[in-house]
Amino acid sequence: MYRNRLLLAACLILLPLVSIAQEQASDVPAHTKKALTDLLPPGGFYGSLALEEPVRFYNESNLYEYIDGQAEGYIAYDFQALASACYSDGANSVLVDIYDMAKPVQAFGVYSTFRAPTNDFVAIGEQGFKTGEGYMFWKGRMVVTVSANYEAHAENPEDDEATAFQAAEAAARAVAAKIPEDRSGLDLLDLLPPPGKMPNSEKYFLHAVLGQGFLENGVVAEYPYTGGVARLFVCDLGAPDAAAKAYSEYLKFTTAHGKPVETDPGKSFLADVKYYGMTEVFLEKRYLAGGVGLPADAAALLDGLRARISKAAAQ
Amino acid sequence: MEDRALSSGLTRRDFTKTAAVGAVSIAALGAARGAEKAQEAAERSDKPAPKIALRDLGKTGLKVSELSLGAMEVTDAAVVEKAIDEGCTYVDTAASYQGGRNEKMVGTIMARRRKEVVLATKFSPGSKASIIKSVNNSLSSLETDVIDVVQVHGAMNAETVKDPVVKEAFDELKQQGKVRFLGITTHGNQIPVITACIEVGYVDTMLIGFGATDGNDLAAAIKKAREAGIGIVIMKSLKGVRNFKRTASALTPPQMAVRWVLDKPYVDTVNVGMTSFAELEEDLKAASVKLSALDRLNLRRFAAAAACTTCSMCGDCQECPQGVEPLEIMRAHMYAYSYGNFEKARREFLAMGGPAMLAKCAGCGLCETKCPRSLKIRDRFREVSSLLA
Repeated sequence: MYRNRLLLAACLILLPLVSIAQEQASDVPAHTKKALTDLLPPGGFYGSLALEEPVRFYNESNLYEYIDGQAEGYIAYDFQALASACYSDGANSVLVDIYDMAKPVQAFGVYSTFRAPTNDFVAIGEQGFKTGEGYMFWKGRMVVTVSANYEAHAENPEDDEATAFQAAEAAARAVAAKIPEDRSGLDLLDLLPPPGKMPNSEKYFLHAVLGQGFLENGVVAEYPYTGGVARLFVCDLGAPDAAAKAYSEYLKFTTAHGKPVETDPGKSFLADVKYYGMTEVFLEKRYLAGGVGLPADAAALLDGLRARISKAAAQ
Repeated sequence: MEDRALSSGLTRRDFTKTAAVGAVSIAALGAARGAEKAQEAAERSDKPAPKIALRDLGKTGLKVSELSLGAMEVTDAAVVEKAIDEGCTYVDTAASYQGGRNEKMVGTIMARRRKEVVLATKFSPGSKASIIKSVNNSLSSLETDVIDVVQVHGAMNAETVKDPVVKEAFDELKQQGKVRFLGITTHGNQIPVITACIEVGYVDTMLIGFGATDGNDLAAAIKKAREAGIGIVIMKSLKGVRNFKRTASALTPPQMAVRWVLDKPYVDTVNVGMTSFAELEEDLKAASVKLSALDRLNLRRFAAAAACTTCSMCGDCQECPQGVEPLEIMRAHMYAYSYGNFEKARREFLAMGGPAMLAKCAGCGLCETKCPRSLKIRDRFREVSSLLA
């Protein structure tokens, strides 16, 4: 009840501030505003919910005013703009936030930082999951969150909550239907071998893969085994020179935190690394890949990864 | 390549495929690491000087490293553990970061290192039940039995601070031994929030956005809070500095900005978001350097650049032939846009006869020619008009 009132009040309070957001986000290009606005359903997608005009926009410089505490998480993935729209029927409201992340892989990246393998997943867009108030999903270059708040009645709060989720789902599906399909750049995920991989554990990092500043544009996935969880990673550094430089940096880091042994000098090393456990890293043209937290017998896992990288590098 | 002999006499296959040898190798390495840890423990028992200086966290009785870890942007738990190894004894996260994933990441480290840190997290304002539920979830995610500092996330006004529900929920959780101290975090409308924290008298810590580009009013309010015994944790210390390039100084702009805040005696710890090992190392240096005269000059430059968009309330714009008082309008603008206090902005605007005053504006722009900061005053008139009129 309290939360419902809070969101409704927030919606109503924020509406007069639309002009502020628009002024402050004046450098959100007109075409971006239009593209995002076009993704919003016109209203009527559930009951008598209607779009409360106008839509609010945020860019990198003022996103923190809207989601302070989380803005950096989006900005780290090259966030472009946010369109935030409130739908209301007077008593109930649905808030739709569409984040333009510039590229599908970056949209997946942000989404993957929120996703947990244990989430309640739904087939909305490329993939979505249930949150406390509604849904989060990604599709194309967009990440979308939908929150619904329905007036709770003491006699049937469960029904009210179910209604709120139905409204949120209707909004999410309406938005997803308008976002063009685009999975460009996501082929990096295919390089992670499926055998043993924990479903929905894949993450994409634009920067600081495994917490290392020199590792960029990479994917990581978890591979549980008895007694632990290994993580395999692949970074596409764009060019062999850049990958070789990253290899060198990684070896330097490992030397500071372990005793690496280069199994193939300049191309592959192995070590027990402080903070990461057993680690193996190899270089293959523009790719740097490997695993951390590996079990004693990780050969099959790493060989699968190596085979996929070799194939990709040869293309 | 696969079976190339290693310098140790093992092969990669030996190392990773042959379970027995691998187990022996890892066991040996594990034993070596155990010895290292024992050595570390022995060193700890002798209480060597901490790697980062400790300060009192207000009147809580807790001591925290003056440089601490904001876990929000950390991409890997290894960075959290490295920060602890380097002497960061205060770790801050929140229930909402990454939809709860951030707390879980921190929790993987807390499972082993909990006793070494003062752990802080946050809950969103709401009902008593929702606060208690959030804190219980945090305890589970953080793999701990007690949270040292549990904070209201993003208080934007005094009412949130004074909400009795927060105190009731906190007291109940404290009685159950699940939390130790109550904190308030704020990043907007900060001065009224700080004032409210002092007034209520039961707030133990505050997490406040503050840096070299902020004004003296905020610094004075923080100082007053510290004098009242509130533990002061600073965030956003890099605000306004992030975009500056490397200067002639030996320090990077972020290092200067962090050091500047650390030099304030009323600050207990600077909470810095560190994404990677490299950023951690960069920030750690700030704890062991001193600002030179050049660094201070650079920081003033950064502050001046940030101030280019801020009205200094000098009043040079007041000679309007139409009788408009731009300073009053700018004040209303400041309340609304800088402090986020729309209620006060509107009240002031109406009290000054703002709508009638703006109606008199002929749009000549004389006020802008007088402004020493060349602010676009007419644009601000329009903003105030659309917002408050």
